[in-house]
Amino acid sequence: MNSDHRFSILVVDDTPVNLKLLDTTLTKEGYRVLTAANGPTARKVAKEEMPDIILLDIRMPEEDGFEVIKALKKNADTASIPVIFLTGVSEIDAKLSGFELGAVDYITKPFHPREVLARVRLHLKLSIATNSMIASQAEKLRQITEAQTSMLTTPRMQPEANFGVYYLALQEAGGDFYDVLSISPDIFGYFLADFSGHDIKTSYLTASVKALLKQNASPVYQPLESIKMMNDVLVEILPEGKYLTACYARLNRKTGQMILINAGHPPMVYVPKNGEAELIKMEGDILGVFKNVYLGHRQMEVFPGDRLFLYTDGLIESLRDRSVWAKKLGDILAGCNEVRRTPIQEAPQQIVRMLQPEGLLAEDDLVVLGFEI
Amino acid sequence: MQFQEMAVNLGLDIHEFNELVTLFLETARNDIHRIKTALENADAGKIAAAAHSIKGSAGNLGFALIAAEAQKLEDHARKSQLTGMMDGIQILTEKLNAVEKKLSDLHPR
Repeated sequence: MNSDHRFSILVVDDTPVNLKLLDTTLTKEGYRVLTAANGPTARKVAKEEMPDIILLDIRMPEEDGFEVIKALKKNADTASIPVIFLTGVSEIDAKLSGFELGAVDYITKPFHPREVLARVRLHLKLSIATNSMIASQAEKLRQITEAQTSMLTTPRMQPEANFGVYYLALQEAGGDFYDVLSISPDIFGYFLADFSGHDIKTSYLTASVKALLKQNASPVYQPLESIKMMNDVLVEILPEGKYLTACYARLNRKTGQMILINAGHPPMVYVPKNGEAELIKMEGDILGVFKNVYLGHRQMEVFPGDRLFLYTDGLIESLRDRSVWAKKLGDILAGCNEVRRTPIQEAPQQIVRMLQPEGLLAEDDLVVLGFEI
Repeated sequence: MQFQEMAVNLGLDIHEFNELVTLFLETARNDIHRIKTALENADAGKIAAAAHSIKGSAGNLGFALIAAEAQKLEDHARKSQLTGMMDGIQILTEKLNAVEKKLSDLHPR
């Protein structure tokens, strides 16, 4: 165990003078400073030492800062370490790419050591606050009783969200769950999850997930952050062997930007108004098992009339035979294509009718949720 | 160019600052050497990288004129304008010499 209780900072810069300047400044302020002069060393040190924060130079020969942060974010151990980029004044694109890749902030070069100190302090505080918030959310959710069953929203309750949904729960406590969030007058979140694992009653779990969504899906957090924070709490509260797959779409109707997150869930279907339906395939970990997850993440521009469909695997697993998945996915695509002329509020029912002809007994819970931009 | 002032500005004491300046001179000389070699081979990319390194260190320590001069070299190299570059290298070398003199005046060996 490390008995050193100081916060540790990994500084990565290929310029020896800058490395030493930051080392001197931060050490004086009581931090434990680790240094790396190139990308591969940075990754190695990050993994072995698990620093509390990383200052990362973007422009380095061979493996640059972008490559380093990508690798750090892909690795479950290092994914949650806050990274601050060091970047030249004029590199606007670099700054934006940095944020997209998961950096929490950037510092412009030439930097002033006192500015670096101020930002390091700020982000350490934020990181501490986030961790304690996760702990306190987990505590609150533990107290949610089974009596508080979750209420599922309907298109009639939220007409401005412009969605339709088909929901079938075979048991009293269904394993599937969906929710639609009005985050702001223009921003909506569409969430779908499927609980799996040992057969434990899930009603209080769906209530927890609903509460978590409400707490974390705010404009302050990017969808990736929201779902990661949800996951961190779920890891604490889910019983052993229980997990969920989920997908989440956040749509800003004003800017036309849509962000999609996939956590081990079947691919969503995107139906452009004037184009062929397509599967949005993204790799992502399941939720509630690993402390730091890697999630599928995509941002896309969408236009009025475009549609997105989310569904649970009841739609593809009706025959318990994985070999038919590919065909089933093809059927789903065709189904979503087929219902273009059907109003979005009724489209999900229509799709289910096409894919599960009457008389065929459903074997699994099933949710299909679609919305139109 | 007052070292004491520059040190305070960075929140460092004069000894810490001098150590950094020593390291800066060492690496900058090395970078100048890299630039000269790269110039002989007309390798614009290597020139830009070495000039970028000088610029970064000088800028952060507060040697604004050296940073500006290195910036010019970097800009020229990125546009593959390698003629007339020796003048810039000369100016940079003189400025580095001036810093070195200042350092040794403060700390006669």
